[in-house]
Amino acid sequence: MTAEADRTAPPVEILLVEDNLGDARLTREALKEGKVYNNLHWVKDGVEALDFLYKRGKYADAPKPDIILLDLNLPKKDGREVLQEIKADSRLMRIPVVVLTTSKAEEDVLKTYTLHANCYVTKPVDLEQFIKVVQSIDNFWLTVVTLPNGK
Amino acid sequence: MPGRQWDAASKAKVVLEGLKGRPESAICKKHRIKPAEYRRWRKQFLANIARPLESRRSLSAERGRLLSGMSHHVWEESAKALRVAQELIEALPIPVFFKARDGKHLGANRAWEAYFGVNREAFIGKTVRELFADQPEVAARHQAADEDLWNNPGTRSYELEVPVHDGAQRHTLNYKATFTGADGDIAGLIGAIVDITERKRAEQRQAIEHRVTRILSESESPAEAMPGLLAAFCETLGWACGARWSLDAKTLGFRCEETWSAGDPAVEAFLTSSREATFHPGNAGLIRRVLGQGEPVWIVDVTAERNFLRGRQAAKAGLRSAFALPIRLGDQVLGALEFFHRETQQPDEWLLKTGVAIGQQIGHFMARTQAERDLRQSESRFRSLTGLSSDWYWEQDEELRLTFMSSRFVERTGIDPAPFIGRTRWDHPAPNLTESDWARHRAQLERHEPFFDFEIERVTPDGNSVWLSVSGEPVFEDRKFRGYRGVGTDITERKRAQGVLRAAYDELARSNSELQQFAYVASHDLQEPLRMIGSYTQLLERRYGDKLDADAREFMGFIVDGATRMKQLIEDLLAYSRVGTRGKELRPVQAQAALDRALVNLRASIESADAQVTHDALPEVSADDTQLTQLFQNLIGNAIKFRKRDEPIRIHVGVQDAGAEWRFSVSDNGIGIEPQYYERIFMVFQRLHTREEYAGTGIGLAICKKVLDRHRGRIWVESALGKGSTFNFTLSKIQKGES
Repeated sequence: MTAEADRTAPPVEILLVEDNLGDARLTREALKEGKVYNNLHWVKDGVEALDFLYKRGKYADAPKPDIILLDLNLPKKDGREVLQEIKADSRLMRIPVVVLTTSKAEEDVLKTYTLHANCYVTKPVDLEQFIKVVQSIDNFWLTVVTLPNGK
Repeated sequence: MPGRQWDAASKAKVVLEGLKGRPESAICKKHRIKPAEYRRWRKQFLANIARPLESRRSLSAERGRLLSGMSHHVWEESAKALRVAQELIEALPIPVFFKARDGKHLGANRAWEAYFGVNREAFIGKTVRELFADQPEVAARHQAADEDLWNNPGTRSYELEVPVHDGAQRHTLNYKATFTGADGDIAGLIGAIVDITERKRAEQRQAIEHRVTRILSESESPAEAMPGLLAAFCETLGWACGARWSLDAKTLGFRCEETWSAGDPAVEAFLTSSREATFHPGNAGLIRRVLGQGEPVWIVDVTAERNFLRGRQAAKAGLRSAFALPIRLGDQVLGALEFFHRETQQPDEWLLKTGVAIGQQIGHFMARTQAERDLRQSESRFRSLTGLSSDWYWEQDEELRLTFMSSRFVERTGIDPAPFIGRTRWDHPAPNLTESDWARHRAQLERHEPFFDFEIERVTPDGNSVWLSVSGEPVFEDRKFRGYRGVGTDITERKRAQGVLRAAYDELARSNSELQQFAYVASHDLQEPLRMIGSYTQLLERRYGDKLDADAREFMGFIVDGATRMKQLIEDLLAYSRVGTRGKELRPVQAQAALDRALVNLRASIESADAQVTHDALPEVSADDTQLTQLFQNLIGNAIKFRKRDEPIRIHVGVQDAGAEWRFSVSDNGIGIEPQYYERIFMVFQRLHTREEYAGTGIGLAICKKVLDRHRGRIWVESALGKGSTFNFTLSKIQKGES
């Protein structure tokens, strides 16, 4: 598979749930350098994320994301609650969720809630690392794994 | 018949009427004479007729003398009267005798003969000196009384102890009266003897009992009472010495306790030998017999008695008779008294009886003084206890009303007990107790159960709180409930300290938890700005690096490096705070398994450093297995990190039994640590080297220390610079029943 071939396929719909402008921008920049043709949808809190997923209000026309990048510390409704709701809904539970954490410790805490995220990624301070992380997600989820929505 | 001339015969007739029993007044009326005259006649008559009684043998001679003074008719009358008089005297049950002015005895009656065991023929014509030849003091006493009578005629009476027919000494009361002859001079005396031995003994017995009672009532112990008591007995009854013997009810041994004698050195020597003697078990001996039988024993002659062990000493002291009586309390024999007499004494029923009574009296006294001593001792203990104790003592009656409160209450609490007296405990409010608390307490008291540490808060008049802890037990007398008594103690300070401690503990727990929460949140939230700094600096370099000069690129390098280090510090700080917040419960774990996991985690660095790790067989310990793994990992990791570059690295994990705990050690042959840093290395972010020499933030040993704090263990280092280090730590052994 090449980037060229990807151009023929519809873009991968990515939902980024992230309240931090800097992190959102970094994610976007990192994806820009990746191979996959994508549509990045960015929401700033848990309530918006669920509106997006349930196509409510201004998100009535939102596509069903192929992957969700979920930050944990969010205003209004935090990542844990969002994850819980996604995994409790049979229509959404198959969407892969990558949880972006600030520290290793946070990952451990989340695991104690027995919420089954598909992947945990600790946000690195180093840009190179971050780009590698995002690209590894990119590679793993978008090119190797056959995603449940039939793509 | 005024002017009538009375001749001697007529007078004699009148007197005889009186002697036959006609009352004096009737005689005087009949014969119209004055009583004084009648008495004079009678006196004359008796003086005249007494003479013939001097001796039957001299009767005819006397008759001649009498006849010369009176007509034949008168004589006949007189002789008749004399016979009557003699019959009268003979009929008297008491000894009667006559003696002449020269002191020679003239006659006596049958009672006299029987009393003294002497035939009157053997006695008439003898003086008192001749009669009591072997008892000069008795003779002297009689003679002195007679002399007195001769000098001052009339009647006399006196008491005297005399030997009688069977040799026994009897107490006698001697009545003596003079009589005159025809010439009106004192012709002799008539004596009558009344035996007052019984009365005398009753008096003696009374005197002894009185003295004994007085001595016992004035004494507080047998030791104090006995000398006086023995003296009273001996002095009153004429015994030479006495002693008290005590019986030890457990060993059945007995000992001479107190003695008394009049001071004769020989007797004292005998008593001393008694006091010092030891008596071996057996059946012989005076005291042993008394103690064994519980009855008095009398030995007539101790020098001839085989059943008396101190015979030789007693003989030396001139003692002959012995008498011992038991000191008894009911059926129990507490000891004995013994007395010795210098002369042979026949068993005296009266003395034996008196002795038994006195022995019982002393027994009661000893029981009483023992009880008093016990009581005094008990009271003294109670006083010491209440005096020394900071607690107070109280009593309640059967209605559960307070009847007594010792002064220590007001001293300790400053509360006046007066309002509480006569009231129940629940009549006064206690802020710490509800109605149902009181009801429960009251029900317990009504069940007559003891209670312990019942806490009551009272408020003083100035509004301060005083905490009391009260314990009590029910009092029963003859199985009847009489109330409660108990103690109380002021626990205000304890309560206050408890409150302060609890508040401090709560505050500490709260601040600890807050601090951990703070550390976690802070370190977490610090990451984000840090990431921004690091990432965007790098993004700048990536996008615009070619437009910047070398300086700018170097500066940006420092920014990124700083942010990266900051992130590591925060991560480490988080790990450190998680030792407290994320620790698991301590349970028995195999230290070996924890070490194995640590070695697996360190495999890469062990291999790259070519380290040789050895270990003892490790025991089971009480620990958090994850943290124990981390502990081994940090210590072995350090040993690898701080190795000598020019020497193969050897690490040994050892363990020693140190009583209640295990002492583990991780030793290496690395670079070592200087002693001044032994404490510092366990503090957060303290490092001994630059990052260029050895990487790391300096959190590893701080985490080790925190892990051991949580395990109630200790960690310390022994090291010498250049010679390696040994990190020791202790962990508790598994407690029994913990698994």
